[in-house]
Amino acid sequence: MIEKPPSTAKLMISNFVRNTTGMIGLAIVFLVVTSSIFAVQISGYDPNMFDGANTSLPPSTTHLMGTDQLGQDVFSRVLYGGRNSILIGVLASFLGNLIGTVLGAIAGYVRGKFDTILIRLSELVMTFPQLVLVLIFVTFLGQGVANVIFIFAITGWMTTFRLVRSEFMSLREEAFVEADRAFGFSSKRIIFRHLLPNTMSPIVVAFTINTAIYIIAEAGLSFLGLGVPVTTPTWGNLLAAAQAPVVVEQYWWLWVFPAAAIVVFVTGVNFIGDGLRDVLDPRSRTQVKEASFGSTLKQKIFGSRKRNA
Amino acid sequence: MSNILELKDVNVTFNVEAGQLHILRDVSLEVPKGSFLCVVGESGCGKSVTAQAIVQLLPDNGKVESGSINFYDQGEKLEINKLEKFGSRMRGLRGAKIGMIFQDTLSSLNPAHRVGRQVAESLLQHMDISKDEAKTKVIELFKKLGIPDPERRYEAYPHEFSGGMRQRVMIAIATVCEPDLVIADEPTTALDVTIQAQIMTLLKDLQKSAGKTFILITHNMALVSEVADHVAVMYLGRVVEYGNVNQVLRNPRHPYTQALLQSVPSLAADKNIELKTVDGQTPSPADVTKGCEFAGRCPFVTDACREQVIPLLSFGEKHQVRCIRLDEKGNLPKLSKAAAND
Repeated sequence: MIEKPPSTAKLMISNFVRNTTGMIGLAIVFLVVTSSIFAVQISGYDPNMFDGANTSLPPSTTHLMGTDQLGQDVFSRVLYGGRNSILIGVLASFLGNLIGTVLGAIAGYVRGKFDTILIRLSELVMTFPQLVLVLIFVTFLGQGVANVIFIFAITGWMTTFRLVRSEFMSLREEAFVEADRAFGFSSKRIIFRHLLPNTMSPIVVAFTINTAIYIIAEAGLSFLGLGVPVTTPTWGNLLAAAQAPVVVEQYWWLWVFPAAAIVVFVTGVNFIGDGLRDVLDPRSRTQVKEASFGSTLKQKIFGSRKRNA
Repeated sequence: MSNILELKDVNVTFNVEAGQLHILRDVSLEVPKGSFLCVVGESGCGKSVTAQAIVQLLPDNGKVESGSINFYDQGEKLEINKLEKFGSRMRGLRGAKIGMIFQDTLSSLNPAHRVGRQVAESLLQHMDISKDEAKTKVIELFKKLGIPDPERRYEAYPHEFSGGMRQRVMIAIATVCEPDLVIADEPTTALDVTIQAQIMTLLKDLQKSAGKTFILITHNMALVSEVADHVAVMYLGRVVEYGNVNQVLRNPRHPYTQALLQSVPSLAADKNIELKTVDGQTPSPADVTKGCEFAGRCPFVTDACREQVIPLLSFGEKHQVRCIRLDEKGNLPKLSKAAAND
């Protein structure tokens, strides 16, 4: 059996495992995600089950986070709401990143008119207040999980677009691109097979950051009653209960727990993002110890490549 | 022998902020099949641009203004400069029929991919073979090119290679599809002398054993004398002298070639005598007027040199020189002492 030198991805994973912040973040996210998948089993209550006899109960051993005005178990609803909130955050971020990456890659490589049109379009979208834009879309498309994902992606692809575009603008001048052309590769192949792997790091980091942003955005939108229909539990919809002053004052458990869930999860995601940035960006590697001579060398090469670019 | 590549009066211009630069002027070259042509000249004389023009990979602001570039693919004549730049026909030529070897091996290989994959990719792009077959073929080629432990090296990344080994990988990529013509743009400039010799031997072997045609772009005269069959000397976008290696190196006719060869240091030379250099500076391509480009630095210059486009004169068997100061036998006039000290 031939011993393969570790791939870049493997090296980065082994570096990430040794990154404390990243691993804490990963643990938090893993915990929240699994518990929201097994929401019913963990809490022991159906999140949509009304219990007229036990309305508005404070936290106790039977209802860990109390019950709401309809007698629904808050713990179960927080866990269950996590499913939709996380789904929206991750999918919207993925979709937005996908749009931004594909457009940015093509625009940065091809330049010319295509690039000019897209950069102006992205500026237009960015200068328009995002909330207003989202509200317009919601009015036209209506509420719903799928619609919210779509709207977030459509209004949020520009940051990744600009990031990837600028990376590609410097990468396209690299000598290996000229070599690729001289080997007869098509532009499509050069863009997506040869250049894209070199821009994965900022894209991955942007993905985690956007996930956190969209989860908060969903909460805000649902709080305003414009996101996901109230019947679908999400962290934002649960928080919306706090619109009534009486809830804020007397039924604190109705809003503190969903708010805490958002804070914990978003913090976890951001920790992962920080960890990834440390591992993926050679310039900010400070605490990470080198795995071997090979990786030190690679850093030197990658580092100097970046600086030259 | 039939030609594999013919350049006829190729003119290349570059659009820059200051206007249009005429980078290649009436470049004509004939490359017989199976030969080894060296293109020499100082930096900025248009050597690399010639190579880029052949594969139609000039920078975005460059353009072949006039002239024709013909490539013969098994007897079939292809007018390269009439093909669409990134069309499938042209892409089918690059890599498959015309291989390219670059100078900077580290930046010419993709840092994100394993080298074996990069070589195999070229095969998969141009030939109808399976991934396993490609891998076997690449490992075989690695062995042939003197890359030790080829199975393990197949999986390595470019940064894990030394410069010489990376250049072997580049040669592997350029030759894996068995192209008829290989253009090497200063392939050994970044390497030390012993590795240089190894790489050049490798290229020469490929030419002899596989019958490939090579165009080597270099400014290293020692290399030229080792490998070349024919030599083209370029100065400011023009071919000033062309001939076989003995004609050009042993019996240079053009004042520029003579000056260039005199400025090559040799170990046998008296170390107390200062090395001869070419007087003056290479003018910018923007300053070129219609006369001889070398007129400003030429000890043999006359007024006539500055006033007309200098024709390419033939001496003997295909020895071409662009100089009007030569007599019918191809000799330059004797310099008077005063002029020589000028």
